[in-house]
Amino acid sequence: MAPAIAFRSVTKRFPNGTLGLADATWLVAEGAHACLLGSSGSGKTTAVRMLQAALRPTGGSVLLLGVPVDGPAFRQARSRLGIVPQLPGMYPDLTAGEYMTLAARLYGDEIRPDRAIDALDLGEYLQTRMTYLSPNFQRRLALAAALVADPDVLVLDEPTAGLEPDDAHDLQPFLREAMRGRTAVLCTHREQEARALCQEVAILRAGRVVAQGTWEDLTRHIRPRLRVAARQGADRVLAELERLNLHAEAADGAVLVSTADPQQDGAAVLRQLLDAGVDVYECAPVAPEVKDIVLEAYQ
Amino acid sequence: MIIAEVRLLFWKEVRQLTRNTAAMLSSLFMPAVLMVLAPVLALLAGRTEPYRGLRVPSLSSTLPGFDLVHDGEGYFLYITLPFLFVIAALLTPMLAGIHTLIVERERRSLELLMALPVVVGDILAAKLAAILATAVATIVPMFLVDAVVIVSLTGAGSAYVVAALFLIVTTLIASVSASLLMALMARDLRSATALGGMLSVPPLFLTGLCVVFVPGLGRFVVLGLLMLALGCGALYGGLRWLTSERYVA
Repeated sequence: MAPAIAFRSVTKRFPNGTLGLADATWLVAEGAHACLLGSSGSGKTTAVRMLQAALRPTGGSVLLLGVPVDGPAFRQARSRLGIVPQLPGMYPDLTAGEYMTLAARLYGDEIRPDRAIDALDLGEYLQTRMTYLSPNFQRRLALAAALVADPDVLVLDEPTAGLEPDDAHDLQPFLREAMRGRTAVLCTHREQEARALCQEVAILRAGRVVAQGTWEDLTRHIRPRLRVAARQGADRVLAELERLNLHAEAADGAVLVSTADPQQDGAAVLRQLLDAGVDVYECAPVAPEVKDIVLEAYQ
Repeated sequence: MIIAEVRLLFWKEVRQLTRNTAAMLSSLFMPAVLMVLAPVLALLAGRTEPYRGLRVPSLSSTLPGFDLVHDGEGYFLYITLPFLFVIAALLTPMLAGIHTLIVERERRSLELLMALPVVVGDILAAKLAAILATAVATIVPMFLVDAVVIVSLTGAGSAYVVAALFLIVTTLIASVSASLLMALMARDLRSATALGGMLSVPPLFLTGLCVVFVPGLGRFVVLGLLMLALGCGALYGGLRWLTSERYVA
């Protein structure tokens, strides 16, 4: 089966010499929920622009639903793609209803916006000018427009960027529901959001895909760690661990200890610390965090 | 289907332009002064004392463009009025273009359009068509007022009106093309405004040359053809060398 989205050795160099993407290869299978994770300027939006055929690759090829984005069949494939843009500005002179009608008609004469409007609870705001919507409802409007034709592929470009934490949290159920049953790509720099919504990840850095796979694939290579906290504080624990020739670092008032097998080593470490007179009140294995994966990938 | 997409976007642009009071006023005020107020007042004033029958020195032996200029009315019709027509026809699309093309990008509502199933070419085509349509709807009725006054008060006749209308329409086309160049080259509103001024220089320079060196009504035709050439050149050059990528990159 052809991937829903395929970037094959894609390079994009802008006229001013900036490298947007550098030999990036990235595949998203049909039905997958994949995340493009990277900091600002890493190339996420450049990738989205290429899926919109707004930017042409300098090298390599970009395929959407098996169709080259610079080919004649692209428009047909594009009509099966919904996009939620990053930090969209709102029209001061169009209502939410007018924008939804425009979106629906651009996808096809037979498309009606009612279902997407209901799904995003936008019904009572249709007569509201877009700039007067709250940030949360502005994002819901962008999401509703992306879903209006029930697309096969949904691309979410930093859908919660610029929102207050509460608003970002409120939007998550809508994002999860929107992604259900279709191929979805989430472009974000928010690691926890990526992990909460996607099973696969590609990590971008300076236009390069530095790691990709499922979270499990990527965390498999991360050395597991123990989190140890004691009444005497992190410095005392670090001193004792150094004496035991264990690699550790302080984090949030506790100490993270690298170990090959946390469950087996944990008991020994705990015993030795207690024997040394350290009053340990916490000693537990820590699951690798997204930031660890990113750091590992960057290295 | 492509036409359908451009048509839908076109009506969105027209709706937004007509709803935007500030954009409409700024697009209408100066052209109204240049196209209606100044010509009508000047032609009416030319029929009152002490300006009636005012003679001007003949320069036609050295400057062919002055062949029909014998009095104040002739000077206004063949020297001043072409400049007013060109300035008004340049100004209106550029002001609308700043609002439609540049402001849309600055306030990031372009992202909303790009998220819809269209390509950048559709968006630009719809915007340029909307700019041209609103400019024609603004300028041509103003010119019709001039036409009535010119035909009824001067001896210029309908041939003058047709030739002047040709110049106005071709200048509008050139200005719409210049708006495209402005959108592709300018990074923000400030640079767009500066660029708009720079892009107005070649048409105004050509107007000066034609007014001075092309005799009779031929000045309108030659200048109109030059405007058309400038417009086509700007359109081709913009899309061929600058490419629509620059509008969204």
